[in-house]
Amino acid sequence: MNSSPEIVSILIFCGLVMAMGLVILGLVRFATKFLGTAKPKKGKYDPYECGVPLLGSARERFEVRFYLVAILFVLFDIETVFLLPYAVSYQRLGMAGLGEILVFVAVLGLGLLYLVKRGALEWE
Amino acid sequence: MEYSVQIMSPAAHILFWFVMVMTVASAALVVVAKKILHAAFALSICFLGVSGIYVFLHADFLAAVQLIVYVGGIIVLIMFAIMFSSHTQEAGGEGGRHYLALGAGAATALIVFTSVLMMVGKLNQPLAEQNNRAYEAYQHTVGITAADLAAEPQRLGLGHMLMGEYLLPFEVASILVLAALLGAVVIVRKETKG
Amino acid sequence: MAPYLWKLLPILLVFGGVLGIVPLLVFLERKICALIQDRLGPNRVGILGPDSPLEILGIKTGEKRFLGGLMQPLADAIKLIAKEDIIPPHVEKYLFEFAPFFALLPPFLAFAVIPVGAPLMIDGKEMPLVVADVGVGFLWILAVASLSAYGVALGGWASNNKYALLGGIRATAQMISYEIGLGMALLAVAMQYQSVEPVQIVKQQVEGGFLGWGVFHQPLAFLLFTICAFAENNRLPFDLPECEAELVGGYHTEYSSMKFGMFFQGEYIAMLTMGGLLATLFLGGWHYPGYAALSASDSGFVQIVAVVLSLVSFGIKTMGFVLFSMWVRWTLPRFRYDQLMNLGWKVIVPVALFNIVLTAMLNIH
Repeated sequence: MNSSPEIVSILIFCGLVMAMGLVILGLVRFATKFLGTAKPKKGKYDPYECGVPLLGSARERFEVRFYLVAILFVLFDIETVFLLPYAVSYQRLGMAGLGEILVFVAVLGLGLLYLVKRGALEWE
Repeated sequence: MEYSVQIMSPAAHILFWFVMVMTVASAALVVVAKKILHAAFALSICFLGVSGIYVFLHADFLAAVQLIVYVGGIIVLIMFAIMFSSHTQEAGGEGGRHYLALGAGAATALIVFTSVLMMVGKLNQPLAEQNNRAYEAYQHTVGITAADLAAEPQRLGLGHMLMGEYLLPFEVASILVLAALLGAVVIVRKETKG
Repeated sequence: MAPYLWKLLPILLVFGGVLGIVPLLVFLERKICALIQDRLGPNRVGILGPDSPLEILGIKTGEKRFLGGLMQPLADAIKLIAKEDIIPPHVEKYLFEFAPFFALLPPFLAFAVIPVGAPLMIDGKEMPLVVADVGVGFLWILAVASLSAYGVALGGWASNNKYALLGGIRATAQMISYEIGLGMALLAVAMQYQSVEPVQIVKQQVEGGFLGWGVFHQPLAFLLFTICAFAENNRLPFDLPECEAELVGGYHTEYSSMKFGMFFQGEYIAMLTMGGLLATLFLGGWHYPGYAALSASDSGFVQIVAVVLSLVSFGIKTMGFVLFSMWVRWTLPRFRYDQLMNLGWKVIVPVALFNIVLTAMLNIH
């Protein structure tokens, strides 16, 4: 693939964007350190809790369904990636290709159907 | 078809070493990081580096897949896992050194490393032939540009390889993914009942 | 000029354009919000007159305000940077520091593969006005889109505050859920045009004329993409990650000064990026009626006009989406979380899969 100048362009662009981000972060640090005077007050550096005393910690355990969503995401992401090469050349693959891809999609579609039927995606 | 050995420019060389060092350094950081979320973050940078290596191998598709699946998917999954079991977060790094675990780890690493070396050596034997084959495989990327097609009308995409030569692995992959899906359901059901 | 130096033109154009438009978007958002809520919105800090930047520098510019409110974003930016950057002791310092950076980066990077204007003719060779015309365009978009969950997830976690963490986790789950729909909508477009390169896709749409626009060939994908774009950007009706009534500010609750501003900026850049993608894939990109006639002209000047008009056309289409999402934001209420997840997994994903199969069936001859 003869795409090396394009890669250089992407790198320059990434570099510019990253530099911008770092400059902003640096500016913020600089302004806080040298321009401002931090006035510590009671409660100023506590976790925000709408003005009432802190209730419990942030390190609580979470609903396991969020984890299920993450797993689902990875699986369907993989499916998307697998479908992409097909998407570009499906016309030349013709009906045979369509049948093959239907099997592939159906297997995962059935999986999703099962998931829904079992109620694994129900959020109360 | 002609195969040419591409010589990297000095700038590309510097970039190459930068990517290499970044990959290895972040991999090391994964092992030594005190906080587990830092380790996960270092792992994502390591994956990013691996993706960079694919770019140097002209395997653009693989590089993008590495980004999408590993950096964007697997690491998010790992982060979720860490966030959800966060009570153990502070407990990491406690207790003395476990020499047995260290020894086992070192032995495993050694075995994996030597087997990889052997595999690479085997691949390298008919060097020219292997390179040609690899070059051909890289040519089967998703992004066939219009210019490529004009120059080489019979060129086929990765889709043809997946749907033809590698059809069985392709369909088996869907079964594998299905198994993971069902496994996830089982985990969630157990949690909600308990 | 060396051909490579020309390549810097689109890079600077995209970088400068996006950075320059963001403050304008903030202003527009506030004005539109005010319009819908029957208020005035920002109307003090103008280009000339009292409160204007020149006035503050000591230059007298008269009593009348000119374009009052337009300079408000500048005032906001200065104020944000000048504010104390509070790093509370309970946060994870490094991740807290860099999370805003990761919120800003991905939407910006996605712009690298979007052609923003008609190709320039340089030494008889066409150079598309795009940062990088890579063969794996869509994969690049998907890759950086999948990185966009990092900023909010890390920000929420590092803050060590339960509202922030809840917001971060909600945001991550939402973004990854709708990313699937987004990716599959992209797939259908790739099938339609047999290409994963945005530059090629725009080219085909241009050749097809007005009826060649993607929205006429892939209406379902267009709909899916629009919905997913809203969800990816955490905009109403999908703004659960930061719903004020439940979560204070969501994942950026503990952030102050310009670091909060970076999350803010990232959101607007993401809107622009989604608008740009939508325009590129479904609305003919930079195409406008009459381009063919203008670009066929022998005069170099007319050709340059054709390119400039294409930039304007792309800008109008992009801003169309942005204005639409602002309108929606101040009109619709937000979803409940279960509705959000149901829509994502039980509607969007199956419909997107169906769309792919449908596209294949319709186009195989």
